[in-house]
Amino acid sequence: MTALKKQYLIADCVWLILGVAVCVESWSLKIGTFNNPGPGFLPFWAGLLLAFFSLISLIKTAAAEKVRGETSVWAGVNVSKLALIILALLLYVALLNTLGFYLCTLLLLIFLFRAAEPYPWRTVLLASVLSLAAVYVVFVLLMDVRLPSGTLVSWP
Amino acid sequence: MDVLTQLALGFQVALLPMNLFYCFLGCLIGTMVGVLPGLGPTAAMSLLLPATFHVPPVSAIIMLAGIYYGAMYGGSTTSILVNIPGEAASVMTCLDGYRLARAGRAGAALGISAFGSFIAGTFGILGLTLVAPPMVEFALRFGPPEYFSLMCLGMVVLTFLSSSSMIRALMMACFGLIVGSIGQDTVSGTTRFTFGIMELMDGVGLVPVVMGLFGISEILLNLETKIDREVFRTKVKGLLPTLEDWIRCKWSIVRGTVIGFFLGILPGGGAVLSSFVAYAVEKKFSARPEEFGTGVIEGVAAPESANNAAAQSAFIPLLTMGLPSNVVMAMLLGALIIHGVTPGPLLVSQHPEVFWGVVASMYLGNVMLLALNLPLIGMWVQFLRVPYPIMMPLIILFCLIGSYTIANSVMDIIFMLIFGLIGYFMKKFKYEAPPFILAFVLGPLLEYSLKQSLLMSRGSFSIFLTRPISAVCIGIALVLLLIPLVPLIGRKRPGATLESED
Repeated sequence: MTALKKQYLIADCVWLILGVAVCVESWSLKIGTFNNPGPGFLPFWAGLLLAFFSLISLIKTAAAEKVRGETSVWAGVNVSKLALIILALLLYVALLNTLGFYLCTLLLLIFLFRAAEPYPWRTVLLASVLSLAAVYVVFVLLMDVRLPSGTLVSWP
Repeated sequence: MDVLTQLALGFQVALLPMNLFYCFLGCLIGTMVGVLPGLGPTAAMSLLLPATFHVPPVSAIIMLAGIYYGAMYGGSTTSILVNIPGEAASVMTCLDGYRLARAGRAGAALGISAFGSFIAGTFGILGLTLVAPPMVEFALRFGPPEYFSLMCLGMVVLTFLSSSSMIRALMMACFGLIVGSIGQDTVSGTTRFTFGIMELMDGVGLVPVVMGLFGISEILLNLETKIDREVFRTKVKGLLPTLEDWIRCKWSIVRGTVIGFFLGILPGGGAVLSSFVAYAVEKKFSARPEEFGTGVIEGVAAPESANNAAAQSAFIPLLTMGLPSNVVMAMLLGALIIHGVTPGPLLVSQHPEVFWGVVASMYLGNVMLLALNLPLIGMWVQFLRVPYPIMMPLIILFCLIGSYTIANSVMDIIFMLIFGLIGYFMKKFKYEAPPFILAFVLGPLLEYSLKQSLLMSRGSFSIFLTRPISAVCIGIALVLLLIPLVPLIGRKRPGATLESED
């Protein structure tokens, strides 16, 4: 079995499990009857159908001789770069309320500009500061938007 | 009431300086977004949705609508010049448009595309103006059972037209219904799937979901590899198509417009489908079908007219019945609801200035777009020169701010990122987003209609089959669901060669 086929099977499994989980959770929400649906009615049937369809998809994929596409979903993908960026975004969200918008975003921008392509540090810093300045002008001054201020580091 | 009087009222609204500004902004952004590959009108609308919260609903819709049909104009520019479709509805334009550009006739291709789009767009709006009021009359005969069945039909049609397997699309529709049910149930007040998170009480917001699903996921996808974009070095000369071009294309434009107009109204239709069908039809009608793909100007005129006509007519079901016929309309529906305006048959009577204002602004928008697209082609191409590694952080920044400002909540950013990841994996494994979005937006409405219908029928499910309109919708839906099971016909599903909506 090719790696691709295995990956598609895993994907279908994930949906199957999700569908079943939703069904179980909706059960406790009171499904009601067909004549008088309860709050769990729609999610229960949606979950059941999801599980049903993913099972069919699972069977179809397993029975297929060849799955169309590259050898793997990750073929040609720079997985480490992608993972780093996702991690950076998650870190950003975690630290946003502590460090405040400006500091946090500045760090993120520097990282992103550098990660996307290895520009020289001077360019990266300049681009980050300029972007942040533009954001300040457009969003804070012109549109009067409130951006999160941190508990540790504060800014106007 | 007289259509002309209504339209005059509409123009009064549309010509207000603020609305003119928003119309222009929408068209400008739409064209830019159409030109830039990797950012479709759906993503652009989702990014700009938060910006519309502080303006009146009319202005918001005018701008968002402008983005949508503006993107149809812009998408053709990159298709012709660089063989990269700016968005899905411009894919067909690549085929002959790029060949024409290679042969030194980029000007004619771009010109015919712009003019064809203008003519089709104008006729589309004309159609909208004439068809909408009678449709409202028809829509008033729709009760909860009809709405329920029609919504089901819409979802089934969208899954039927998906480019990957129908089973997968149906899975996404179910997923959409599930996510749509998160939060407080409107009827019983019970909270569903919130797991104690307070911000989920109102459900997951439309904006973080679409920003993540379309914007963030696209960025993640683009980050996988380096993108090289070769911009056409030759100068674009001779913007106007020759008289011969016009003579050859006049019927192509007409056919494209008609096809686009009618396919745009159908649930699940839209600009993408229209452009594909128009190209195929044009090929059939042509005296030299074998030349299609080598640089035939009709091959540019037809799909371009179709996608613009469809972009206009897609508004008809949304504004007259409150039913979105494709993903973009579903987003507009969500946006309208956020603004407190519920589209539907009552929109025209309760908020005539919204309905007619939007219609009037479309006329103006089309004129603006013609003016924007022809002279500024050179400028648009410059946009392509901006390296993606510079654009990417800016787009992410935009998304982060946009999602935060909805409710000044960091949770919204988290939701956006979560859906960004989900969207990314969905794209990798070929699960399509449009059925999800449609189901997500329609889910609560579907449930409400179901409850109302059962109330009307005192608990009997037969109401969906005894009322004629409802029965027809259910019937068609069942047929579409069963077609793929019949192997011979199943393979002819149009989606097999379609790309998914942006």
